[in-house]
Amino acid sequence: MLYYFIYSSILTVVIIICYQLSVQIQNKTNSILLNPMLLTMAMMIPLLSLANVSIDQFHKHSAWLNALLEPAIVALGLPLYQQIQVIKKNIKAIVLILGSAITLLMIISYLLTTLIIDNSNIAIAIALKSITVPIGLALSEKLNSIGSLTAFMITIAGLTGGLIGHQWLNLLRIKSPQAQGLAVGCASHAIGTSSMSRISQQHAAFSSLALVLSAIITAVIAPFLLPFLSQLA
Amino acid sequence: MYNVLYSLASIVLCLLLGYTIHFIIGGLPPSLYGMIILTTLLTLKIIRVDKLTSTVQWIIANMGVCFVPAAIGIIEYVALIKEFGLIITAIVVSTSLLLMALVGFLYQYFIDNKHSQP
Repeated sequence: MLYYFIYSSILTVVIIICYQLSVQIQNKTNSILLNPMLLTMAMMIPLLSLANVSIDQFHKHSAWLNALLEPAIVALGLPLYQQIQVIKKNIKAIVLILGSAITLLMIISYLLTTLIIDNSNIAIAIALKSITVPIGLALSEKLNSIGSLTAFMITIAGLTGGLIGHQWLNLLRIKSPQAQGLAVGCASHAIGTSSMSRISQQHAAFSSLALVLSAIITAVIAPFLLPFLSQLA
Repeated sequence: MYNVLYSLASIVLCLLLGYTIHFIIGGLPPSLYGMIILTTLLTLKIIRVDKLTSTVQWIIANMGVCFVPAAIGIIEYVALIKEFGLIITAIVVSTSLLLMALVGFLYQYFIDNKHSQP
C-alpha cells in the first residue's frame, strides 16, 4: 500500500514535470513541431524503459492522472456555454456537415482497409477510430471487433489531430477558429480537444461540441452502416 | 479560494449527475453527460459563470497532462503494429487528416458564404 502510494506519487510528479517542461519549451521556442504532448512522450518513453517500468506498472501507477480526465472533460462545458449563441445560430449546418463527413469517412476507411488487408475486424476498428474511447469500445464489442485494436486506432487518430491537426488545417488555409475546432474535435476526440483548448476559447468550444456530436452521430450510424458494408464487401 | 472550491464542487456535481444519467439510460460516457450538464446549468444560471471562469480556464489550459498516460499507452501496441504492419497506422492517420480537411473546408465554406450575404 505504502509502496503503491510512493510509486504513484513519483510517477505522477515525473509526468507533470515532463509536461510542464514541454509547455515551457514550446512557449519559449514557439516551434509548431514541439507539441507539448509529443515532447512529453519523447521524454517519458525512454525514461520508462531506462527505469525498467513495464506498461502494466505504468498504467497502474498513472491512474491518478487518468482519474482527472473525466472532471477535465466536464470543465469543457464552460467554453461550450460561452459560445452557445454562435453554436445555436449554426447548429443545423454543424450537424449536417459533421453527419455527412463522418458517414463518408466511415465508408472510405472501411472500404480502403478491406481493399488493402481484407480483414473485417480491423476494418471495423478503423472505421470507429474518431470517437472517444468508451463509446468506441462499446461499439466495437457490439460489432464483434477487437477492443484493444479499436483502442489503439482511437489513440492514433487522437494523436494525429492532437499533434499536427492545427498545422494541417493552417496549411490548408482553413483558418477560422470555429472550423479548426470542429474539425479537430470531430477527427481526434478528447486528445484533439485538449490540444485545441490551449489555443483559444472558440477553438475549445467548437472542438468540445464536435467531440460530443461525433460520438452521438457515430453511435447512431455505425451499427447500421458497418454490417451493411461488410455484406457488400 | 472560495471560487476555487465553488468551481471544483460544480464540476464534481455535474460529473455525479453524468454518472447517474449514464447509469439510468446508458449511451454517452458520464464525462460527456457531465459536460452537457455543466453547459445547461450555466445557461439556467444555477451555476454562476463569474465564480467559475478563472479556475475552469486554468483546468482547461492544463488538461493536456491528463492525456499523457493514454498517449504513452501506445507503446503497449508495438506488437500489434508489428503484426499488422505500418499500413494500418498509415490508413488511420490519412483518413483522420482527410476527415479534418473535409469538416474544416465545409464549415469554413459555410461561414464565409454566410458572412458575404447581407
